[in-house]
Amino acid sequence: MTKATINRLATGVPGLDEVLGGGLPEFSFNLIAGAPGCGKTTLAHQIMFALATSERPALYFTVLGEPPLKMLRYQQQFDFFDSRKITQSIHFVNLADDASSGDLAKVLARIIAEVQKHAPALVFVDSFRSVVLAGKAEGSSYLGLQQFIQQLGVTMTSWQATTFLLGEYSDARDPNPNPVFTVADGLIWLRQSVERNSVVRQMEVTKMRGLPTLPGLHTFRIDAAGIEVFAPPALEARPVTQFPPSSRVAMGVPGLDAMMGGGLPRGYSLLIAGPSGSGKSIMAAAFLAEGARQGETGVIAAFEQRANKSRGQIIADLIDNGRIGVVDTRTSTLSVDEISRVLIAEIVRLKASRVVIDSLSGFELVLAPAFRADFRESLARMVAALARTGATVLMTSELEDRYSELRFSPYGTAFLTDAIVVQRYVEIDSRLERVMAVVKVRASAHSNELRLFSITDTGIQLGEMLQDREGLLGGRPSRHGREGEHGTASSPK
Amino acid sequence: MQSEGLPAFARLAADGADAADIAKEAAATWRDMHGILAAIIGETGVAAVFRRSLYLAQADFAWLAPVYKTSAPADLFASLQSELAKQSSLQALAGNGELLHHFITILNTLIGESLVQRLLGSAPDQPSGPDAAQERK
Repeated sequence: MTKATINRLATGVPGLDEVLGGGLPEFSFNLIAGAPGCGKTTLAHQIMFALATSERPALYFTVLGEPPLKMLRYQQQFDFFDSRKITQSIHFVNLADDASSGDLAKVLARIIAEVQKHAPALVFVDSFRSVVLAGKAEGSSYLGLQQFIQQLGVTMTSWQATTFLLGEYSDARDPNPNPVFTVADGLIWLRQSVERNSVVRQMEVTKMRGLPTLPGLHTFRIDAAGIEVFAPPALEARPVTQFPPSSRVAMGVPGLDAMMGGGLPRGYSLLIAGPSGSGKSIMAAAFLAEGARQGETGVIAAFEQRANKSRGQIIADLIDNGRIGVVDTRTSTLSVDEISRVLIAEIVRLKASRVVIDSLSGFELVLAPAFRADFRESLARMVAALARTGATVLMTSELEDRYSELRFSPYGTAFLTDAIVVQRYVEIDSRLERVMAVVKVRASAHSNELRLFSITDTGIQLGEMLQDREGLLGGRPSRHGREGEHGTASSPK
Repeated sequence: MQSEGLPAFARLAADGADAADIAKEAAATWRDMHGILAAIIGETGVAAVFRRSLYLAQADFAWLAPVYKTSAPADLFASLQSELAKQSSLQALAGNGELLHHFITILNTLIGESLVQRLLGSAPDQPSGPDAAQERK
């Protein structure tokens, strides 16, 4: 005796199969719900055009909602809309007249008649809410509606059709849920929220029988290609790049590797924190350029407004040559999951072993306001996902100099990264000098020196320790008579 | 969308058929198109586009006005057939051709030529021959 096999259909919507837990169960009875304008019809069309073939035809019922003329007019603007499939593998059927009578039995009979006529593998009813309202208008009892839905569900499943009902329902957490929620095998909620000038679209799969769906709200975007869902970054099963264990990454700044105990351990994430203009982006560029010099590829997500200029010619050339991939970060409604997904895709594409995020401060600014509250959590998820790719990650972060306290990172991000380098300004002999220190390299010995450094045309030049000064971190060091102690420190695991 | 060859009712005119035959054939053609389109865009959608086409066509063919004023969507084609039958055969052909032209043009504008072609195939579009234009009032 073998168990029933539930095939999973690839929806053709990037990211949706991951959220669904591996695709859409064949013959399932699903509800796509959400307020007007949140993308229900677009999602349905995208799935339909991806799945419909001559052998697996689709039937799209339109009811009293959006006039079909308009629906066809706007849907054909999307890349997935292929008019050659219409009348061949996709059939549209208008139920407005049947629904306007309010007789649910008549609507059901018409649906079943069309299903028998076309033998579809995919059935869409848009919008199902119109059917329900039409039924209520004629005083149909709750039971009548319940029976209608159950009969529809059973009929579609017996006809081996994967079915989608589209509807405008207010909330999944309604204390008196619509009976359709009970009957449906899958519930996909689409939402959009507006905060200040940003619109964030989010999807939630609150139910999908038999599948381990990804819980929570997942952002999605609608552009000319259709819908793309940004599921939390998937953890790569194996590193994208392979290097000998315990190998270290050269930073491209002479002397810095020695301060880190022989370079940054490969696969680590490093936070470079410092005030504006201290040289964080230059260090990030040196890190990528050094990688390229050693034959490695890299990816950069730059959130600075003048990213092109601050990167320098070497990096610009490497980008032009395809040795460094650039992640587009111009939009202002990004979520961390979206950028993670794009970053990881680029890492996989280029087999990149070095990644730069410059800077976390800029990153936070381009996030939609709705996502800023969860920035730390999302960042932790992203760092974990990036770590699984095997890439060594360098993130910069703006850290305002505060001389009354010793801080290493904003947002409490210090614990997220494996290593931290801090840069600061200090006043020495009426000059503003820069100093840097390696604060942490997890499970590795590293220098505890506070070193002067300067920025020249060739990059960052590390200087000496200021052995005759004290109070450097207070910003205004004073000279003292004895030599400062220096040596090495080790960060605990 | 261009027609491929003479539609059946235009051939009737060429063969010397009278306006009643043309009107009957034209109404049948409209009902065929209606059958295809109403299943997809609904009775209301087809009726709305048809009325808009009537409105535009009656600028040159004033005798279409009574059809435009027909209130019940279900009676539109019968009304059209009735008015066509009252005209000369060439006038009926030209008026119906103009109506068809507007109807297809509106559909093309709304849902795109390729989709209209896909749905209606090589349905009749333009009135053929120079006579049609000459006969306009």
